[in-house]
Amino acid sequence: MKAPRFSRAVFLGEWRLLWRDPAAWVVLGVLTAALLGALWQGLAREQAVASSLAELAQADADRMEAAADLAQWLADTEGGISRFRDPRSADVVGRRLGVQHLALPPTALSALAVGQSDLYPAWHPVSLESRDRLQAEGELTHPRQLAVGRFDLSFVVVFVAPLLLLGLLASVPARERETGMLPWVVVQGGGLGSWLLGRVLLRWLLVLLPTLLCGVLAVLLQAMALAAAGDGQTVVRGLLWAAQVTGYLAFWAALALWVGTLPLDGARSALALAFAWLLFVVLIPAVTQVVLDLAHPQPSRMAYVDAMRDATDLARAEGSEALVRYLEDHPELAGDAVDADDFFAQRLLVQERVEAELAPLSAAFEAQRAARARQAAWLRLTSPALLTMDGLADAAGTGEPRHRHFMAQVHGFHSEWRAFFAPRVLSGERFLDHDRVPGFGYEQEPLRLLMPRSSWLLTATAGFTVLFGWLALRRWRSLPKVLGHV
Amino acid sequence: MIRRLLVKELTELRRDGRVLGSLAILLLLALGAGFSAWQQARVQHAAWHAASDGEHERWLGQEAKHPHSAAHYGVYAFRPPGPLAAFDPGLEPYLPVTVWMEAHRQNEALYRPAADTGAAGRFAALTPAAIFGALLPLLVLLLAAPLISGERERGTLRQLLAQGVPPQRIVVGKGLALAVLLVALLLPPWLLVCAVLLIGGADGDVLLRWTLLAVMGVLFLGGVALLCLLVSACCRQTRTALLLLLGIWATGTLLAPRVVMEWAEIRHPTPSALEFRQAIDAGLADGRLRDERIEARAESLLRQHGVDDLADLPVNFDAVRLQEGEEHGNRVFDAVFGRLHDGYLAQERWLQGAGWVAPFLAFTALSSGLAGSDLLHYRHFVDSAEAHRRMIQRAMNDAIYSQPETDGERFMAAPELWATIPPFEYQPLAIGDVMRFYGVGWAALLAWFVIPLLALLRVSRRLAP
Amino acid sequence: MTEAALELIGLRKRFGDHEALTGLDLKVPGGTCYALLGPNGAGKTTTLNILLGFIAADAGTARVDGVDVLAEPARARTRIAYIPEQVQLYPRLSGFENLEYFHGLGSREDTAARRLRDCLRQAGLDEAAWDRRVAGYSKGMRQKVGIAIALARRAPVMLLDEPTSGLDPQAAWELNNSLRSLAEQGVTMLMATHDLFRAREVASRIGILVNGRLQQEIDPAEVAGPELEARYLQEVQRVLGVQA
Repeated sequence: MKAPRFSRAVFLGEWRLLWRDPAAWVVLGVLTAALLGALWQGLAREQAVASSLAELAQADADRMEAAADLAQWLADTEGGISRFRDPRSADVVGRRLGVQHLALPPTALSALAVGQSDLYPAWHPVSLESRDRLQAEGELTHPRQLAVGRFDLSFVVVFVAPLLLLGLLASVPARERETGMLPWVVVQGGGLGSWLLGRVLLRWLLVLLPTLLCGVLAVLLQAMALAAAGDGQTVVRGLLWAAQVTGYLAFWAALALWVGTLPLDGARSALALAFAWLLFVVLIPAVTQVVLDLAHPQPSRMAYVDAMRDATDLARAEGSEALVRYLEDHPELAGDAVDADDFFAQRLLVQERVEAELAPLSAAFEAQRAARARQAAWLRLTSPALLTMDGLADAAGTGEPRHRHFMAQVHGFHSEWRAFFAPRVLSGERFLDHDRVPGFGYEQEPLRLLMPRSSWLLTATAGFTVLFGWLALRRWRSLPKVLGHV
Repeated sequence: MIRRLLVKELTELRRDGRVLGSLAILLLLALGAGFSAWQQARVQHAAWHAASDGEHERWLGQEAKHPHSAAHYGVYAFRPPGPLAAFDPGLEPYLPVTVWMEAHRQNEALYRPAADTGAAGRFAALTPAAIFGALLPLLVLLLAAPLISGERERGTLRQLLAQGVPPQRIVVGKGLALAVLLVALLLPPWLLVCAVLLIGGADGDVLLRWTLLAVMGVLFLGGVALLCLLVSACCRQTRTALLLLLGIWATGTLLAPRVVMEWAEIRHPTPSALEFRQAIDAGLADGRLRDERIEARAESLLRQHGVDDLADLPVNFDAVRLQEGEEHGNRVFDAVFGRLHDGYLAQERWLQGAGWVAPFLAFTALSSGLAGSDLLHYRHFVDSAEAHRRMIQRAMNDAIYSQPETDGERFMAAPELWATIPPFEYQPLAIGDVMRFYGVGWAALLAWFVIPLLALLRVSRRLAP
Repeated sequence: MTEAALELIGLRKRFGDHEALTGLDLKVPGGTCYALLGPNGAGKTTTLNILLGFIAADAGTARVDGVDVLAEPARARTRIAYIPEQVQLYPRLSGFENLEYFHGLGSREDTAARRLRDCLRQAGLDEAAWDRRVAGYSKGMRQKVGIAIALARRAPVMLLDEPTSGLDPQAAWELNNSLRSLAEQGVTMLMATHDLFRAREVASRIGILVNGRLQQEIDPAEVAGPELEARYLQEVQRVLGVQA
């Protein structure tokens, strides 16, 4: 293929053709409506998350302050309170009054993709409770909404935009071929390849530019709402997001280019493109899921709970945690016969024993899950839609990897919390270190982790683009086939 | 004459390589999806059995202890997969599988399978229901779009009409050909599943559900076929008909579910987990009514037994406190969980209502409803588990009530008490309740069958060549 | 006589079992119009397609303005202007915009609008129609835009595929006038046609192509209309009859 060489007249002509094409306006209208709808949805969602997180942080701080004040008052006045509610008990503070809700802060891009954020909660309460409790609590989302997926920008990019782009490209150059205009174009001498490429590029830009613009708008609005524009990662994440969108739409343009070189009339070419869309966006992702389910069945949570209960029973046999729970709920029934501090210590030991029993079980569950995830990562290579869906969420910071990175910090902080409170609970001393409890500082997922992942996804998508581009190029070289003479 | 038209259409369909190819692909997909779904349902069922049995054994195996300690030990209730979840897993991956039933608290159900699936699981799942509801209409569309407009384009419609063939018969012939093809395609697998269900000892309820699914499928797919024929009859070119129908398919199948659910969320917002938990905590903290009731009970018991001190009662007043505490919690849980689930179901009703605009939505709702993998069944499970939890609490508190503590000696119940609690056996929702809930969906599907039928009859009377 | 602008020697082309060209020899001197007459399937369109480089000949040589088509099809195409049987234009562009667009495809530089307007004028398109959308054009008007596009190319050779088919007599007459004036400007034309009457009017030489081979060449000045028809039919029946 020769490098495109166009005069102003051709650009003008192409522009006029597009401008006067009602289909282009329909596409632009539908795309704009979809983008704005998704933008609004994303911003509203992030707004709700941000206010939830702020409320939680405030509630944590208020609770702790009240506890410290009460402890001070009790110390000053030597007033009485049940040990089970005493803010001077390390157990009471570590387990209830001091609960810290660790939050995964939204990025300036999180309005761009829901990713997995509707499934995984944005915050986890850390206390002396067992680690297992951390994973169990989830955000409330309507299950049907989880099943059908959100109407976010990722959906518009992955599902809607290619459909609109293909709608514009279905007649390029099928209409010219059908009407017999194509030989004429060839004779004019501009080079069929560059002519076609120019035409496809223009339509590609018609879909790409509004999408990118909407992305930029979303980031600006979100950054304004969060007042977090200073985040150094925003630019990199934004560029990655834009690269994913560009690469993905380039793949569809390359595919349309290749279909354009096949000797098909308009209707067949439209059908071929519709089938390609169905294949890459619906069928392949669905089939990979079936393959995964058959090859790596999802570990069963029921079996996990079953085993967990057995393990817990075993550990409890040595202590009497149930009794502690009972007393905790009914301190008025405990009377003087019960030494609360003994129970706190005993419960902590039982809990640690239960966790030790559960550790191999959790590890096995996690290993099974990870094996499936590894397989799934490879299976993404079967469709650019799968690659891009992950890539968009990852760039926006709502994907699984960033959440895992956060969870690792949550677990780390949980251990720190335990390490701080456990000796104080076991010693049974009065707890007065309210201002010394560990605080959580979220650490951004470093870009050196994000970059290789995103680059890999981008490269794989680019691989598809190159493949179809190469197929198209091969057919251009044999001009008669393109013209449909043979 | 119709027979001749039918035979001609069927011959053409049979000789069309694309039809056979598409059918083969669809069949292959359906086989894979069916096998995978069946396999998963089997595994889930086995896990559910094992976990439920294990839980009951653990309950029975408790040592002698205070009944309230047993109440705190609690029981896990596990949700069985819907009776026909192998056909339509519906919301299964997004519904928690277990709930811990303990004293004082209605816990939130735990562990949505999707949380362990990874991001790829968020794309459309390949299930038999999805193939039937989304892909088969696409095939029908490809087959039906050229049926009349193609004849018109080729000029053969003009010839047929010139031969004196009544236009209605032409349309009926085409419709029948499509129907025969679809019945030939779908009846054998439907009968096969019937046979499997019968051999597997499925009860009448499951067979009834399967039959209703078939009726619903006929309405839905029939409506789709009629709509396709109608569009084909109205379009001058096959290309226009195809593009129009593809647009309708993409809008109805792809866009509509998300848009409608976003809208439903705006109309009936789901509280955030934080709001939800705060509402429970706030409700529980406000114990004035509970305290008043406990006081009233104390007074009436003291009066009844003619004593002045609660410790002198022949019954254990702690049980009254515990049970009143339960009742207080129950009022809060009924209100807060009720609000949550009412909101959920209101969204589901909204989805059904949207079936008037996009029949696929009504299909989705009804299919998961009949398969027992929808929110209605889930709520029924949660309510059943909660009823079971309350039953356990009452039984434990009753046991305490009859055992006044004397000399500070704590009452230890014998393990026989545990055996009085039956295992939690979830009974799926009665089909009558399911049908009542999905009335709007049925009506929408019926409308989508009848309106295109009437329109087609009208158009076919004046079929332009 | 000037040197041949179009030269075909021993051209052969086979599609499966069917031999479309069986050794075609043809020379068109510069600045003349040559009409290739023949029945359906005689090989007229195949000849044009080979000259345009759309299909490769199995054997033989084809030269356009001295450039070997088989060796350098793209370069040869720069010497050719082509008017297809159905001149298809973009209906949402005006006649002038179509001309500007198609002309732009083949030239790197922008051509002055005045020169393009001259081409439209020369092709005989009514000035009032220049800026109207092509959707409302008649076939004759589209044909004229096609000629204008060909003129703007300033190519030494012009290939015409059934240029008069489907035109009303007035439009066909106008077309002939345009072609004649082109020949006067030194453009070499090869026209594949069924239309004996128009061929005789405009061409300076007529070749009768049957079964992929040139059977006879006629100077139209030497024969009257009815005689041309008689000789054409005689030739076709001779070749096809022998074959039968």
